[in-house]
Amino acid sequence: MSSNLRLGLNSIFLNFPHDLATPEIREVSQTEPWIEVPLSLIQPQLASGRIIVTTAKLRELLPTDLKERLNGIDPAVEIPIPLQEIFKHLPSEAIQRRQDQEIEQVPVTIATPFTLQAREDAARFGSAPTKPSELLSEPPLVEAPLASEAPEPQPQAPETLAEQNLLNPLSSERLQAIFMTDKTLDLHGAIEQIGKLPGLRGCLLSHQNGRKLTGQLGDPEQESVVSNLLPALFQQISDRISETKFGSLETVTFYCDRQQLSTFMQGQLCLTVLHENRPFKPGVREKIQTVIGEIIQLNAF
Amino acid sequence: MPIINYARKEIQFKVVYYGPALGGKTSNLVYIHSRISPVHRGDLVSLATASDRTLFFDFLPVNAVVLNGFKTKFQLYTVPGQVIYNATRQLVLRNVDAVVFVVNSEWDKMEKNVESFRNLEENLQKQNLSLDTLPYALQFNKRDLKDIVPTDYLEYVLNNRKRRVRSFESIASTGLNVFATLDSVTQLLLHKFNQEYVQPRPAGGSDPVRS
Repeated sequence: MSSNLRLGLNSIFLNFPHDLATPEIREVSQTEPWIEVPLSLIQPQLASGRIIVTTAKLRELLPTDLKERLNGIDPAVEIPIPLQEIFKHLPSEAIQRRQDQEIEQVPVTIATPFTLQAREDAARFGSAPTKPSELLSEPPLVEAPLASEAPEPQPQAPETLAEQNLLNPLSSERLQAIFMTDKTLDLHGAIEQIGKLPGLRGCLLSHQNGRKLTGQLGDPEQESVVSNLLPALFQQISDRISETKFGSLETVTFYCDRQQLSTFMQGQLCLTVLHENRPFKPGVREKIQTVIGEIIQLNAF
Repeated sequence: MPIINYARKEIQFKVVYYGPALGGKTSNLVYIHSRISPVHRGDLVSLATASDRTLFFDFLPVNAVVLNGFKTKFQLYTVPGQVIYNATRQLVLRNVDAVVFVVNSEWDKMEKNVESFRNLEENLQKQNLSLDTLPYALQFNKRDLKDIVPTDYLEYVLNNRKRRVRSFESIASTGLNVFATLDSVTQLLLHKFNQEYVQPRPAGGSDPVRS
């Protein structure tokens, strides 16, 4: 690495402190002389984001015919040297990183409430997606996306890692015990079982972000409305209820002119059931509540 | 350290956007505010001077979903970048859980970037916190401007600690990498929280969230 940097004087004098910039100095900025500045003078200052030399030092470095231009300036006054000028000539070795750096990695996949927007923006701007580290090997710990825009129309493929994970077999003996079956249940199977509980006609599981995960209520348009509307509505009601002394909100039942439906929400999952003709038979609501909790335990944070 | 409210079953995380004046901290929050559904966020509270500089702080609450039965809330703050407002910055930094350091990529702001970064280290130290352990990310903002500082120099100056954190080139005014930065730092935050509070402890150990 060269021990000197050859810097254009015009750039230095152009950025001279205004109160010191005499006509003689301004005149130099119009020309193209240069000076050799020792790298040893610059390198220790690089980390500070500012490079300065004393007037005395600058005078020492100037060509003989220009030295007198600095007459009358206090030798101790500091003169900044523009970083742009330095970087035109600075060898890359001068800003090498320390060798013992440890690159920070998140050792597990964690999708956050902001992951969806980050991915959307990455697609929009054409930049590299901000997927979690590729070294990650464990299953997701948390998936907490927030709906930021109108959800895409159905049918929808699993969008997030947790959604994908939800479709894996649910190896829970407890879940099998709840439905009294020896069959290993995947998420579709578990939701189907809920839809067959006494007094129910259908069951739909959707993500908090409005995406339908599985199940059916009979009418796709109706399912879309339910998936998009009810999670947000439930959350709003839940937030307000939590400010009272009623306890946390578990279920909301909607009595409509033609049909009744009830919504449950835990974690990022929203489950809606369609009633046959009247609200829950004894124990059914509690059973559904338990099943959702079990699915959350198996799949989410 | 996050605030855990057992009575209301809430966990509250505080993320602070730090950096020199005119770096784009408020622009970050404005963009985040614009992209999150109103259902999940509160209003962006901003107290600015007549010249539109942040006077006290900007504040944006974001409600997320449930972690182990606890409702999570993210509180996003900015600090005023001007040197004279250090008392305010110290106040805003109290109980911080993660930091996004917003860097101004203009050449003539390099000194201010370094000054602000050192100020962050000092203010954290006063709270017995350190960038060695606190989740944080660097955001090199204003990358759309001409004649800007190359990233290798920004990395050399601001990311040369033993722990090398993630950095993002951003344009906060358009949103480029705004959420990527926040997502990254939130991942670190949740991972740390998971390690410290959620993962099963040895027999007899306490577990604040699961208890």
